[in-house]
Amino acid sequence: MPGNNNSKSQVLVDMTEKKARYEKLVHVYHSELYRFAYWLCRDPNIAEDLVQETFLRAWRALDSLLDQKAAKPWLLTILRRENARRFERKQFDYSDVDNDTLVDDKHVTLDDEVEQTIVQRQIAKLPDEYKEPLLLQVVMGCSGEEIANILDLNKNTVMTRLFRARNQLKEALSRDDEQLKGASK
Amino acid sequence: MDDLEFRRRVIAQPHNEDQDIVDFAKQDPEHQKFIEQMQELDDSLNQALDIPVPKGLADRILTNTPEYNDDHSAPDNANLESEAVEDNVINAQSRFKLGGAPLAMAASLFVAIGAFFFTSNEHNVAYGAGEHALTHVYHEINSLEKSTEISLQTVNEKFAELGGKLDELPGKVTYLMFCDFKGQRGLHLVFESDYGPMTVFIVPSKAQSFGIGDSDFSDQRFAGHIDRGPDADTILVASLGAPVDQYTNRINSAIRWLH
Repeated sequence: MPGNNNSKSQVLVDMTEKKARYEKLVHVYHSELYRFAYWLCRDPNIAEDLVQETFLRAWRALDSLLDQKAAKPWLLTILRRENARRFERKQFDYSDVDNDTLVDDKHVTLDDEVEQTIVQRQIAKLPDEYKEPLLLQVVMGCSGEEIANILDLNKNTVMTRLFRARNQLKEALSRDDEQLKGASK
Repeated sequence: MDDLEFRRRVIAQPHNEDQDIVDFAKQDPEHQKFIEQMQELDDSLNQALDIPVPKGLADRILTNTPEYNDDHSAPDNANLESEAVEDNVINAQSRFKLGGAPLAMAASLFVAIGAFFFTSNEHNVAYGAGEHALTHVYHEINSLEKSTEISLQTVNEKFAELGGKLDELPGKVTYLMFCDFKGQRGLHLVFESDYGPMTVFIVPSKAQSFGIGDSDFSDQRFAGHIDRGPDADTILVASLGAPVDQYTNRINSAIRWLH
């Protein structure tokens, strides 16, 4: 009964437990989700908004997450839905046409940096249907089954798309490599 | 398993440790080498995708979760809250709250810049093009504080999309971006010089984005020069007192157009 002391203290205990679960989720998954979101939208501000919205919704629906092990695909499903919602809202034009954020504070050598930029560009060029499974695999460390669940595809389709994604990258990067060698001659 | 299946599975999952893959790879050093090559590719993908995460993001997420910070959430509200989950109004409000401060700052910055140009009417500030260039520099003022070097190769990869190439630049490039200049896509870069960071805009001149106004312009902080070429307008913005013409000439003689 509401107002009853016992049920009130039980509610407080539940709330404390819920908060602890939530904190853990945020600390464990925010970095990976941010990176995934960033590569989906290629804008640091939108990526941060997406991650924030994802966790807001996760907090409100936390009781429906029964198995903590299922947290990653669950959060990814929320984030993908949020990203899709973004396109339903009004789209604004940003003044930076290509928002290429160059990776810094990693103390990479110049060659590495050039290579990274080339790789980033080639990944961005992939069609979404290939890019998303690849990001889920490489950034989020998802297995084939997990990717299949998140994207609502069968596992064979996921494997084919992963194969095509890497194959395209492999070819594009070796082309870039030849061009670089050609340019330096 | 045949060679084709092996390759397909390794490419799809380079870190695949299925027993049949491992056994197949053992039969032939070429297979083993192929796995290593694909894992190497994966390492470079990993590195390229491993962008830095904004500092304090986890704390911000927790702070911005209203109910998490509310110690008095009564159970009576539970139904109401769960209904609100699918309600975009809540969503829009939280978005507004997040975006409010930066938006206000950006707005006040624009007002300040606007006020500056309005009030300095009598102080020989070039209107049109110069104002446009300066506004852009102030708009991305953080671009002057970068220090990580961007190679000429990277600059040229971008510049090639506009049909140009730079043989050299007078200093280390620290900022590189495509920007929109009144609807015309141009290159925005910053390089280090003996006179502090200098900004260069290279904007294809078809749209005549920098068509009006004096070639030289300045305010209390920056001085600049616009060179209107047949292919593009080149705009240099430097700290007041820097030899702008000298640097403009150097840049212009380094630009090649690929027709």
